[in-house]
Amino acid sequence: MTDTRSHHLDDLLLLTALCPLLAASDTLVGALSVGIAALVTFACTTALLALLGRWLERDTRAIGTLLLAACVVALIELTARAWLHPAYQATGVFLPLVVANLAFVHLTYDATSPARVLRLMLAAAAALVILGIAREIVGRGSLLHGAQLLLGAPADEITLFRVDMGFLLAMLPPGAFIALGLLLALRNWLNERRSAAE
Amino acid sequence: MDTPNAPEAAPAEPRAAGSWLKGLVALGIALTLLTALLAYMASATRERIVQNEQAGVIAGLRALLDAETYDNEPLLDTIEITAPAIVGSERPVTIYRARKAGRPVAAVMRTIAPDGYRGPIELLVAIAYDGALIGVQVLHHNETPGLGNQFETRAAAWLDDFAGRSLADPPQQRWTVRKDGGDFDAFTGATITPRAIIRAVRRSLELYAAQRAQIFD
Ligand SMILES: Cc1cc2nc3c(=O)[nH]c(=O)nc-3n(C[C@H](O)[C@H](O)[C@H](O)COP(=O)(O)O)c2cc1C
Repeated sequence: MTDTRSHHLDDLLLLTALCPLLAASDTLVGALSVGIAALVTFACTTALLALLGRWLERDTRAIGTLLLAACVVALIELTARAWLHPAYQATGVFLPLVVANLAFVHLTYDATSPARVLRLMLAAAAALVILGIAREIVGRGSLLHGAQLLLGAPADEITLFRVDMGFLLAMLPPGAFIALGLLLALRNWLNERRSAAE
Repeated sequence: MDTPNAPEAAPAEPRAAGSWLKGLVALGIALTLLTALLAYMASATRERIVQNEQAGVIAGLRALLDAETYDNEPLLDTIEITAPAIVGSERPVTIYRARKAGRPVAAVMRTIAPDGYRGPIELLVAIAYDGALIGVQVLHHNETPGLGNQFETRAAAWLDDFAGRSLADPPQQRWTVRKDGGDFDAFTGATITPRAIIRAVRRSLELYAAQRAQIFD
C-alpha cells in the first residue's frame, strides 16, 4: 500500500465523517459538544464491533454495522436528552446524522485497525474544534458563547470585539464548508512544505 | 488479479453459507439485547425528559407572571383549545391558567408562529384577564443567528414592547412592523421574524377574546 494513497483515503474518510457535523461548528461550544458526542458514539460502536466482528462476515457486516451504530446513537441521544438537556437542545439534531457516516468509516477500515480509526476520529474532532474557534471569532467576535450549556460550566462568553450583526457567512452552514476548505488547504500546504524539505 | 474467480467460488459456497448464518444469529442476539437496553433506557429517561422539556415553560411562566398575583399552579391548571380558524393550525394551543383565590388572573398560551424565517417559532404569550398583554417569551426558534434572533440579543429587549398592548392598542391595521405601516420595530436587516412573532401574538389575543369564557370555565 503506498503512503499517498492511504493519505487520500484518510482525507476522504475525514471529510465523510465531518460532513453532517459541520453545521454545528458555528461556535466553539457547539463544535465541542458534537465532537465529544461523535467520539463517544464512535468508541462504543468500535467496542461492539470488536466484540462481534469475528462473526460478522462480508454479507452481514454492512447491515450489522449500520444497525449497531444506530442503536448506539439512539442510546446516547436518550442519555443526553435526560441528563445533558441544554447541550442536547443546542446540537442534538445533528447526532443521528452521523450513523451512516460512522458505519461507512467502520466498513472502509477493517475492524483490525481500530487504532487508525481512532486517530482519524480524533483528527475529525480536532478539525471540528478548530473550525468552531475560527467561525465563532470571525462570525460573532466572541469565544465560548453558550458555555453554560456544556456541563453547566460557569464560564461566560469572552467578547473579543463587538459586532452588531457579525460576519453572517461564517455563522451560516456554507461558512462551515468554506472554513473547512481553507483548513484543508492550509494542511496540504504544510504537508507539501514538509515533504519538500525532506 | 485477473484470473476468473468461478473455480474458487464453487468450493467456497457451503462455508460462506454456514458463516453467514452464524453472523446472522450473532447479529440477532446482539440486536435483541441492544433493543432491550433501548427499551429500558427509554422508560428510565422518560420522566426526566418530560421534566427537561417543561423546564423552558416553567422558566417562561416565572418570567411572565408576578408570583404575588396568583396562588395556583398554572403548570398543572391547563386547557387545550383547537381553533384552526384563528390560530391557522390544527395543533391545539395549550393554555396555562393563573388564578388567585379561585378568580381568574391571567392566561398564558403556548403557541407557535408558523411562518418564521427558518421554521416555526414557539412562544409563550401571557394575557391578563382583562385582555391586556402581560408579555411574550420565545421558547424555541431556529432563526438565523445575528439576524433573526435579535429579540434575544439586542440591548433594548424587543419583546418588552408587547407588554400592555391589546387588541385595540394599536388598532388592527397597525399590528405589524413599521415598514408595513405598523407600530412595531423590525430588526436590522430582518423583518420576516418580527412579522411572524407579531402575527402570532395578535392571533393569541384574538383567540383569547373569542374563547375567554371557555378558557376560564
Ligand atoms: C442567509 C440569510 C438569512 C436570513 N435570516 C433571516 C431571519 O432569520 N429572519 C429574518 O427576518 N430575515 C432573515 N433574512 C433576511 C430576509 O431574507 C429579508 O431580506 C428581510 O427580512 C427583509 O424582508 P422584507 O423585504 O420583506 O421586509 C435572512 C437573509 C439571508 C440572506
